[in-house]
Amino acid sequence: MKNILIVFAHPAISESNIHKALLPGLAEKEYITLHKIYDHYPDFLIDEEREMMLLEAHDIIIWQFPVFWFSGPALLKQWMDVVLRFNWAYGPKGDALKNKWVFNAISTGDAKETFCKGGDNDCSIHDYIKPFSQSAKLCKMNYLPPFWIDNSYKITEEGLAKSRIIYHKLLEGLANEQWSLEEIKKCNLLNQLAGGEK
Amino acid sequence: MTEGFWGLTILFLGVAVIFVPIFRMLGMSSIIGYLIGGIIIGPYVLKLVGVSEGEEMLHFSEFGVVMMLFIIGLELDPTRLWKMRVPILGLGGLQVLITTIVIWLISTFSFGLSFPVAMSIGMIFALSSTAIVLQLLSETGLKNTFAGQSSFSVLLFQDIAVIPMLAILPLMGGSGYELTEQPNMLDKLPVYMYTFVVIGVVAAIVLAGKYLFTPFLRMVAKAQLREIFVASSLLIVVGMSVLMTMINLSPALGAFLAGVVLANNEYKHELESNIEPFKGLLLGVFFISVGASINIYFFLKEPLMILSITAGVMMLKAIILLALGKAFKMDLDQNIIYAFLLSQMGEFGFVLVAFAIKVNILTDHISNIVMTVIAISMAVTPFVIILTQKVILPRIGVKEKVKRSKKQALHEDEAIESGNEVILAGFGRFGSPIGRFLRLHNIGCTILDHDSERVKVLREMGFKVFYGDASRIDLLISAGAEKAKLLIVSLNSTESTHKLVKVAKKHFPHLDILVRTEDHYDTFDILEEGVPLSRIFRETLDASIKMSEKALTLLGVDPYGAHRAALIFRKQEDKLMRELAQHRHNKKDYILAVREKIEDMEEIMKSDLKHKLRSFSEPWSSELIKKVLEEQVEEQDNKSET
Repeated sequence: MKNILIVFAHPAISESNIHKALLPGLAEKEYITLHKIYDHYPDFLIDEEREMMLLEAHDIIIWQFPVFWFSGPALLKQWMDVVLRFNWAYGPKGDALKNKWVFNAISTGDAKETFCKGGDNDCSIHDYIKPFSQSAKLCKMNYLPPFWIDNSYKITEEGLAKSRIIYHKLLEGLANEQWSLEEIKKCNLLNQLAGGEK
Repeated sequence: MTEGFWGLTILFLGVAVIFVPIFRMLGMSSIIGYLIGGIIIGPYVLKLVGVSEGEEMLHFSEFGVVMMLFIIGLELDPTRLWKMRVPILGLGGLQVLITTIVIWLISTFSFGLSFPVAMSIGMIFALSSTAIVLQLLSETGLKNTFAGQSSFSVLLFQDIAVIPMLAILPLMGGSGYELTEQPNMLDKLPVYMYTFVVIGVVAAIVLAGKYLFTPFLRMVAKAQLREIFVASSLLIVVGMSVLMTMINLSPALGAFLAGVVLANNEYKHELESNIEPFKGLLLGVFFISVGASINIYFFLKEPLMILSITAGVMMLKAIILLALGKAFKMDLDQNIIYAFLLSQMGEFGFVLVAFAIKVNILTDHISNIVMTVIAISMAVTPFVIILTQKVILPRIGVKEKVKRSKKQALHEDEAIESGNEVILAGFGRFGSPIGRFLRLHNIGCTILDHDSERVKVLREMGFKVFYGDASRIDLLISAGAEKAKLLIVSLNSTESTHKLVKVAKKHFPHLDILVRTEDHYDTFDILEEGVPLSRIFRETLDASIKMSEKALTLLGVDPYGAHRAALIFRKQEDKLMRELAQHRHNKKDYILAVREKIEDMEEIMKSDLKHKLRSFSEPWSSELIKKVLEEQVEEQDNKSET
């Protein structure tokens, strides 16, 4: 069984729509560590040692956040800046994260349809999260397709409940090694593994 | 002559009510008020009280002393006593012992007094006035200095020493005094049995204190009748005293023992506040009676002799205290304060005199001299302290500093050679984290502090700390102010802070200054000296804002949101200070301005917070944005139409 670290970056969870629905019940699972970095480091003073220990202790890392300005919230960037150190996460001796799995669990205000050539957002979600996939590559990690809930301002209660079920099912499956790496990497979105849209 | 009980009551209460407030207004101890009042109504001036009546009252009011010892016992927490055992036993014990012996020897050889008389005078003069010294300590703010603490230890020992003294006096007693006035059931017992009974009774009291008094008081407290609780408090004290008298020990010892036994009791403060008024009143009557027994003509006949005895005894006591302080490695300035603080004789002296008369040791003549001397020494103590602080200390202090700077010349050269960039003035609870922080970052720091004891301790801990008043220019120069870059002022007195900032601004304009302040007003003072607000740190502001941030978080606000709200509040606080600084000199205007500004600020803050913290829930969908834009266009169209 694999264990999962969710590095969760949301500056105001009480105002969130999607993430407030996704999270309940996750922290109670013994294979999941839910780490809310904005709650833990409101002053942005990240404890690198602690973060490194957390990363080393888990097999699957999730960067979960609402997409702000086509990227993650500020503290997540700070987290990457101070935690992913040379010769630890990357560089000739940087093998601490090697072969760990990592992916983004994100939400966007806009609908999926707008993320295409000629749409309002003009390119795919994969293009926008390129900095994360490239970082993972530098750290010799296996970067998986993203888990994505869109249309956060329009989503219905029903949609939220469904998203929660899919997300929890996905994490359970990943922890139980239900799918092979090849199988997973073939997906466009991880949602589909657990019965969600492609 | 006033007849009857009620007449005397009116007379004594009248004296208390009239004289005590007058003397308090003159800045003197209430004890002096009682004494002088007593002298005036006494048989030698207004003759309102006769000699026999005075003696009767003295007899009756001695019980106030018993109650005082009960309260002293109550306040002796055994663990605290244990912690202070060295100064109490060492400093206090030696002071009492040496002073008694020296005065005994002088009385014997220079005045040719007999052993019991000389010895009892020695004991009487060895004691200082707890009441006056404690009052002075809190009035002059010396309470927490080393001198204050040492004084307290010595006084504590003296208060306890009174008990054995009261026990010894009758043993030295002259003829005609019966150890017990009433027939006693123990009289016929052999000595070993008597010892056995005494030990048994004391043990019984200790056990009763543990297992009997507490359930008893609990039961009484349950009845919820205040007067019954008062009655039981009195019952314990009176009962103990009577018990002690029955086995031929002093009632004071019984009360003291009962007090100590009850010191850890949950009803300690209740007992104390119940006994306190009785004690105060009875002691007042006691001192009036003592005053009434002083023959004022006697003093008027030979004022020079009395005054020179007073001065002589006080000097003698001070010298012995000084020598002991030196032996206990007290710094000179602290030593001087404490020596003069304790140089007077005290209220227990009167108790011992009264007792010594009763057991026929002291004659009227001698007791008159002794009591007058005690009274005068108590009256002059406040002036002696003022004199010490204003005249003697500055001179001796300077000498000491010269001596010190010779000793420390090495260190000072070091400081200047290494060219410390920072001078830190004040190394108390605020300054010490600063010093530690800077040291951690290898920033050379010259530390100045005016508490000589702290300097000593810090030096032992390896901090380069210098003793002295940081606002003195010469000290600043020797601390390297001419070459330093930064002066950090973290003194705990607002006055010295202001003074130092003034001096530094004037004489060392190149220095950057960081200042710690306490409240709005002294922040304004520092602002007016030209220090920008960004370099002024109100001591508790940041801590209290941090605390409010935590409070918000605990109430469910997102931690990051709470953090930002706290930062915003902190910023607004500075803005408020800047605006209020302009109004400070006009009191009316200021209060109005404060109200207005705070209201304004809260409005601004509210919208500000909304605005600033909203950003995370703002629409982020192209569709929504378009909609908002369209709405705005519509609105404008509507406006232009109307």
